[in-house]
Amino acid sequence: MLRLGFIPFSYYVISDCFNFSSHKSISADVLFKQIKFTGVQALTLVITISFVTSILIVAQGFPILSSVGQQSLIFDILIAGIFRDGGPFIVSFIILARSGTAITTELGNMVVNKEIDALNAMGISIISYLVVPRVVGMFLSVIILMSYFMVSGLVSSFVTASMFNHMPLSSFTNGLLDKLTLLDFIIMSSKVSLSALIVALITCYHGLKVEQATTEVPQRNIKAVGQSVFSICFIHLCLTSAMIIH
Amino acid sequence: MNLSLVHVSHTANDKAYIRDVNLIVEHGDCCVIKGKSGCGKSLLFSILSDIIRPDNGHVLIDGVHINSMSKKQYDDYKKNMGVIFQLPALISNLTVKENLLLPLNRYLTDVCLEQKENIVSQKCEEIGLKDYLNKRTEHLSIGMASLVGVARATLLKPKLVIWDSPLNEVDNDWVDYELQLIQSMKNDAVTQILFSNRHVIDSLCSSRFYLEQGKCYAA
Repeated sequence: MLRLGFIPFSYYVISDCFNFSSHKSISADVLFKQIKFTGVQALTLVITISFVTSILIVAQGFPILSSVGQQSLIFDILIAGIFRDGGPFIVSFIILARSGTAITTELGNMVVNKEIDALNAMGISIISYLVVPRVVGMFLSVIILMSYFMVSGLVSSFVTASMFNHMPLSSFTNGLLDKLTLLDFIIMSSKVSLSALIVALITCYHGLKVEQATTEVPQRNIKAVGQSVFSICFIHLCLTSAMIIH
Repeated sequence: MNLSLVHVSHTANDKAYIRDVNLIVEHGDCCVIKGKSGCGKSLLFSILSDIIRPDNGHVLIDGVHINSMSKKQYDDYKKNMGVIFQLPALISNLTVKENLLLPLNRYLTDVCLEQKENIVSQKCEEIGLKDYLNKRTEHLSIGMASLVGVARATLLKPKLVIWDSPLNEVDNDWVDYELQLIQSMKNDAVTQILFSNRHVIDSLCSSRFYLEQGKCYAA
């Protein structure tokens, strides 16, 4: 269906994102639905994963660090695990598994059912109506998801730390704020936003690459997931390396 | 609205093809294109509906090459063209109302939502689907969905209608409605191109073409 290669496709989509207001009469609804699906309905899943991850970090790490007299290092591990490395990595995979695969399947089925042809015939741009709201929606939703992840991770790690080591809230907050830097937030935001952008582009691209058979939809989904996983790992490795070098 | 194909050839998936098709459909003309299965009807339908651009040849709308149209000319052309597919091709994650609002939201940007909803509501009443306005399209039968497809294509009162297999999916009760619609559009000088092998459609049309092995002949 789509004749463009991935690079020109991405170029058209990103340039059309800056032109969103000109087609908001048809795209706004799709954008709200995407934010609702990716950013709001994933709340329980993200909170659960963040809750369990934080409990495991503190419950496993605290006794080991205490035995060597290095309890304060738990905050470094929490920052790496929730804010800087672990959290963005998990959130990126959640949006891929939940929303990315849904996008490829939905767009692929729309091609097979001639819905894309119908939109073309009505003069409705596929990029403006279907792709841009999904890309923008994923981009905004990932910020919401990462916020859930951080808040839930901090609450559960504090609860675990106070239960195991009777740590008061003030010590926990001070210890964390002493170690947390602006760079951690920059790295975290860059990782999740770039991952969301690339996952949205790859999954939309493969969805629209379906030609006419329903059997192509799962095949395209597999390709989209494979390429997205590789891209997420690459983005996270590059940004972590940049931070280590810095 | 005039539509001409000049020496149009196209191959798709190494299977379906059309060869050197020349076709002129004058303003207000109602023409039927017939042909056996696999003769290239669907491909020609896609080219005429501007879903596919042909490998070779020219598609002219009112004498203007489709590739050299300005954005405004192209928007006007799309606004004035209604395409009805054999399968209803409704957007499956939208309700009937949202499907019908799509072309209105695209082209009537200065009209308020309430007015657009009134237009949609009236149209649904006309085709007897007012109770289904807020239902998603999977709750409709194929016949009902086809009627919504027809409604969506004719909502903006197009000057050119391209219709793949009219009467095919609708119940007997609605066959008369579709025949009357074709006749009334003909009376209103709407240019129509119908892809059908049905005799009843044949009798409504002023010109007939036959497609065989990718070539188009006047019948």
